[in-house]
Amino acid sequence: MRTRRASSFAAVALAALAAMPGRSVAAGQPAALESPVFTESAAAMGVRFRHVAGRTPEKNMIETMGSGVCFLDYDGDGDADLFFVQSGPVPGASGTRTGHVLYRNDGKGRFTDVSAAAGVAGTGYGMGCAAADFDNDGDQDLYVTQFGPNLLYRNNGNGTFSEGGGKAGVAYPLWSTSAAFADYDADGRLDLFVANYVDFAMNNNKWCGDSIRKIRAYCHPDAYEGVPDVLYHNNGDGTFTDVTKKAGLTERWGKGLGAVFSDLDDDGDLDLYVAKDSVPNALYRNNGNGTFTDVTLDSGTGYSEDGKPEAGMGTDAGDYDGDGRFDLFVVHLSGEVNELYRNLGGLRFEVATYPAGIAEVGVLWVGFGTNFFDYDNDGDLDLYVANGHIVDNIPLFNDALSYAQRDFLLENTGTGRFKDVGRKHGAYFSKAFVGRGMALADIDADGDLDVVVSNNDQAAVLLRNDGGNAKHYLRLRLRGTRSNRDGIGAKVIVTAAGRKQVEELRSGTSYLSQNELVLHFGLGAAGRADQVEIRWPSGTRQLLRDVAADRTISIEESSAR
Amino acid sequence: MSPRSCTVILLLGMLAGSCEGCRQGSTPAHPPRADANPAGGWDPASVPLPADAARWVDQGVAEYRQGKYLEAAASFKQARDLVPADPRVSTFLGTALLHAKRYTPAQEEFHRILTLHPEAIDPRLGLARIYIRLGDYPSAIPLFQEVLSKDPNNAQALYNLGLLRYRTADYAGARELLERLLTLKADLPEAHYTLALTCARQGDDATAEKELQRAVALAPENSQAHFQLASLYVRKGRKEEAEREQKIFERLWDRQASDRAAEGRARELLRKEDYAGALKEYNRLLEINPQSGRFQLWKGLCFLKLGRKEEALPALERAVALDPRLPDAQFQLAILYQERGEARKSEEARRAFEALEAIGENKTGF
Repeated sequence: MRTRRASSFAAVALAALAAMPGRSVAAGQPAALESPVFTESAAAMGVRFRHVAGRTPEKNMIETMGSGVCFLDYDGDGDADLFFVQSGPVPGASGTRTGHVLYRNDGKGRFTDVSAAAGVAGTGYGMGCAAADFDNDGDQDLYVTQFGPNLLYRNNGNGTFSEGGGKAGVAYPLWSTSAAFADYDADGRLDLFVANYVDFAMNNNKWCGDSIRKIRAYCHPDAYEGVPDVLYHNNGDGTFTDVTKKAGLTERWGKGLGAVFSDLDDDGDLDLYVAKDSVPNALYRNNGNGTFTDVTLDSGTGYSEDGKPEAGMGTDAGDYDGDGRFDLFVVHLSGEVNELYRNLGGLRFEVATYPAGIAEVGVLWVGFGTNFFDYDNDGDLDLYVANGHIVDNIPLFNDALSYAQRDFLLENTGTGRFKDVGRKHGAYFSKAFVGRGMALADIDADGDLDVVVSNNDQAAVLLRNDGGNAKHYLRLRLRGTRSNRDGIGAKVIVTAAGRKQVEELRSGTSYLSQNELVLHFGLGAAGRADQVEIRWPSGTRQLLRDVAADRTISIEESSAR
Repeated sequence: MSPRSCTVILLLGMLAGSCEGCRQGSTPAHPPRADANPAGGWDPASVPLPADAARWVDQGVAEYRQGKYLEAAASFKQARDLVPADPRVSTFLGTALLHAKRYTPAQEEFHRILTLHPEAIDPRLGLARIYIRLGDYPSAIPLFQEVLSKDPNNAQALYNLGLLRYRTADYAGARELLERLLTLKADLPEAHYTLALTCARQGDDATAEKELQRAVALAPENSQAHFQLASLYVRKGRKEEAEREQKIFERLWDRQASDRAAEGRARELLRKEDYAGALKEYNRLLEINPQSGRFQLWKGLCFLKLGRKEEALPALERAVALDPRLPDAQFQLAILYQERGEARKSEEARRAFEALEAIGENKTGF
């Protein structure tokens, strides 16, 4: 497999070089491509999803949000299927709603639209999604957040879904954004966190913009009150109970956009971080007894280095510096910086944005979808940021900004710093889109991570990673027995060639989106992993030794602790 | 002397430095002093502007101070066309364009005047500010270095270059510049604050704490310094002190947030130039939060817009009594006192304004 991809990469690279004979690379021009190359492949792979924002002259705030995208294995065949959330037209507007779209993957990265058969087209103005086997029946279910009642699609196990959000008690009626499944109380069942945004409604749309020049623009979230987030406890009978207050999630600002469950203090339970728009982010420490404590201020993750709340959009956790602790990354509005919070242990973080060299990169961009990932399998975590401004007429207010923006591929240099290298890895990174949701999966099962981006009011982009598998990798699919069946929340530590890497299986993350539920480790030059340690949410620890690389292995939770 | 002329002279005559740091201030930013540095070869007192150009500058300044940056730029451009080689006018034009977020023409104007006056300082600083806003630190840094080679004590350049050194992880370089600045101007809370961040990055928490305490002493309402102090105490395990600082930070932040939220209607009326309506709204807000210097400031500004100077004066005096770190209030008071022949008070307000504007009121750079 690696040989095939390496060859195909060589052909792509040679073709790219041949297209630019004798040209020197000047500033602003695409650089000569380096391995790996990301090739825009949506149409070629059968993905024709186009997001509809339903933009109107009234500039309803919901039109700016775009939508999420989730990888899931809905048919249990081991490959990454793809679900896009659809939005427009806005409520009350004319126009045909095309509905959410589910694509089945044939295992080779060819996708077929199965939405109608699956029964997931839905109703309402969609926002985000999360996928997990919440009822532990062996197939992955889908939760869809909306501007309006959220939807819970229970997988019937036969290629179809049944919507039952109301019956299950999770049809939150206002404006929800990101969602994430996690077993916060370690009872073996996946609970559900839903981030909610503001109290905008179609009948309270405010006029924002430049009243002197009579230029209307989309409102800043300051124009509306926040709506608090919700935590639902899984009752184990197909229903959930709102335990937000009981669990201590009493943060008062609302305006949540991104969420990630992660064991940030390495104590075996899942803490919760919520990125919030123009109000302080929230970090909740899991107390291990079904409750959380707000540790935002002590942790240093709620604000910029200067103690200012920023416009947090998407977020992710990952151990970028290889110290075994999950760090946090939050992307923001132009004029702010994308913050990297380095985990110092004990739920204390330092702002590493400037030392990591990523501050100035983001000043003119608006980040939404984001993920840590090892795109080149070299053994450290790089970053992807999907960019696109919120205000569609932003050049009227600032001539340095554009609505459509190019995405970032930030390479981890291995020294605690990142470098924007996208344009060296594909023509796509020189093109501008209005990026929103973003997720990762190895869609063509070739050993490297591919990227999907849902763009606001534009066609989705699927970036096939060609050549990312030039180095070794190991992929792990987990199956819980005492833990939740998907193994969500499991922490895996891989040791290869003397280097330790840690990852965690998560639902949610990024912005409105979810990655495939498979853990991917780049191993660099190491053809084997010396050790793979799995720490399951149940507390079970499992060790595998001398594991051959370049394959996906399935691991079932052992019965012995 | 007309109030308008008085304003222009005040602006030209004072060291109204400008730094990247005015984003949070919702009051209009200040045009920098036109180049009065001897190294730039200009002395505004000895080279007065022609009357027609001065009128346009006068109008531009008035528009600028209302936050009408595009209109101000148009007026400054009229003046610039009359005196195309005058770096003072070009600096006004470039600065207005910068605040209007018209970075391309702003850069063009600064570059143009720098080709005519390669030694000029203020256009160079203006250009550097644009590069900071665009996240182009490698272009901004040499400009500040050039300013310092011509004017080693330039506060703006010392501060901003120190800030950029900090941001690019050159902590030793940042510390040297900021310490130098503080030997020249010991009362700059921003410099103490940024020096504290730098020291903390160097692992020198003792100096960081001392500098933060100095910043807090100079600017008790500055939430950033309290935030940093709280972080430092958490880091050092000094729980009680951390909690105390966290409470102060949260109180300040809450107040700022609630003021911002409450102020929306008043701001909208100001945008519509309904000053009577805005005045009414600020009076209402002051009933809710009588300790807000910011609301008092805007009340005073509304009085000024309505031509009610006698009522503006006590409102502005009350504003600076509540919050001495309101540069707009100090600026307007300097003019009002000057008009009333109260030279000593005018001079005090002018000095207060100078101190506040020497580098700006925060360090974020946007």
